[in-house]
Amino acid sequence: MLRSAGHDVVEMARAQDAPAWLRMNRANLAIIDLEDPTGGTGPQLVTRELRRPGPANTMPVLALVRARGEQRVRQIFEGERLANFLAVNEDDQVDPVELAVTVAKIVSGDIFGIERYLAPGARQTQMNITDSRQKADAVESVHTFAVESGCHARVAESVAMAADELVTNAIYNAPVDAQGKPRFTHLARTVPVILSAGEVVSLRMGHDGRKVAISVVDPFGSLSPTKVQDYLAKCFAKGEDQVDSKDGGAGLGLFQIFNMTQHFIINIAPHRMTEAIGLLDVTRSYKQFTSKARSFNVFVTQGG
Amino acid sequence: MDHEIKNDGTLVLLKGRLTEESDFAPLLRQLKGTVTLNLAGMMRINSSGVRQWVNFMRDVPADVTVWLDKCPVAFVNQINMISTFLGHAVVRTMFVPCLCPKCESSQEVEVDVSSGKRPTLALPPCPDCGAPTEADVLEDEYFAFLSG
Repeated sequence: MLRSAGHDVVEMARAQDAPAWLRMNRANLAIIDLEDPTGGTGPQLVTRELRRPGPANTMPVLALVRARGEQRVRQIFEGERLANFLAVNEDDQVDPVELAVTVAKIVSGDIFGIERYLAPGARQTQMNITDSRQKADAVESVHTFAVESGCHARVAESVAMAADELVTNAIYNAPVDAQGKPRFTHLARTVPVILSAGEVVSLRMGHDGRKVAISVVDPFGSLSPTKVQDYLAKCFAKGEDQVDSKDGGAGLGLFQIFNMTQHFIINIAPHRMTEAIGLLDVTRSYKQFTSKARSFNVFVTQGG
Repeated sequence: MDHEIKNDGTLVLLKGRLTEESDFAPLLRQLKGTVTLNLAGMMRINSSGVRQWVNFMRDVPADVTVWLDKCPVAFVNQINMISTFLGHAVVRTMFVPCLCPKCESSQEVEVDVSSGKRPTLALPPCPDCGAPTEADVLEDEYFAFLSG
């Protein structure tokens, strides 16, 4: 499939052969199946090689993850520090659209928008937010959209709560001053925040009959991949510090979004824009929704 | 989130959304002895609501015993995700969603877990078509906070 999309693909049947190849060659992207079916340590050798100082050190990595469950996800965020992974489904397949889109985004640097994850002609709607008190209406709109899109009632609730977290992050955590200092992070989430006309947060929803997508775009670009990984690692570790006690938010928003969606994507243009996207399959059963292994991506671009 | 106190303070009905607006301080001042919190009316929980709840559970006096009844699915999910969510409270009953594989009708069944152990599910037939129903959750994950 990647070849038919115009990519030049070099396959390694055995992961342990990859480190030698990586020392001699360059590629735009390494795709690694993290679960070696033979139980070998090949995938770990590859990720180690990609972290060593050398030509492969800056190469983006996309991991394919079969195993689900908190412990595995914790290991990915805490130990392997991967910012891009896609779930391999029970039928041993990666969602072909998500794979093609993910590879294209990494290779091209063109990363923004929910349209690329949806089929042509998808129903889409958008609302702009400049006041934290608009959040309740925004969340209700997302819930209604999910129900009308055919989501199971409990899945629609999950979509709505993901929207709640996305909007809260965009209004309270994203805004920074000219020096990059957070403006509202310290505020209790009951304290109203009003953004200026040039600081509109945009909430988008899309549905193509197969998937529902929600996205929130802020015009600040203040989120960093390291911060995302740190927060997710902290929350999955489930320590005493899992819930923040500092002023401001609970530090659980990204963790909640990760758990309430099936594919969580963060697009960052530093100092200019951040887009957080949640994708879900439209399922008739809550079990189907929860059983799917989660996918996660953080993309950073210097371009538009 | 609203609360209604009944039975001389031994039963509290909690209703509404668990969010940043949820203030448990007035309820906290009235807790004494053994109290059952009925959570059937609790809807939607966001991350700020999680912290309000965690702080509420943390601040419950040591001489107060808290039982949780009719825990909704969203609440059970948070128990499994947040290590300090339960505090010293004990889940007595919880809802288990179930689905009819024949007509896709869905319902929630209250299950007794007061033993602290994972229950053996005996789900009722579909109220619409009479077919056997199935738990609409991954049981290993949904009951993860219970032993056995």
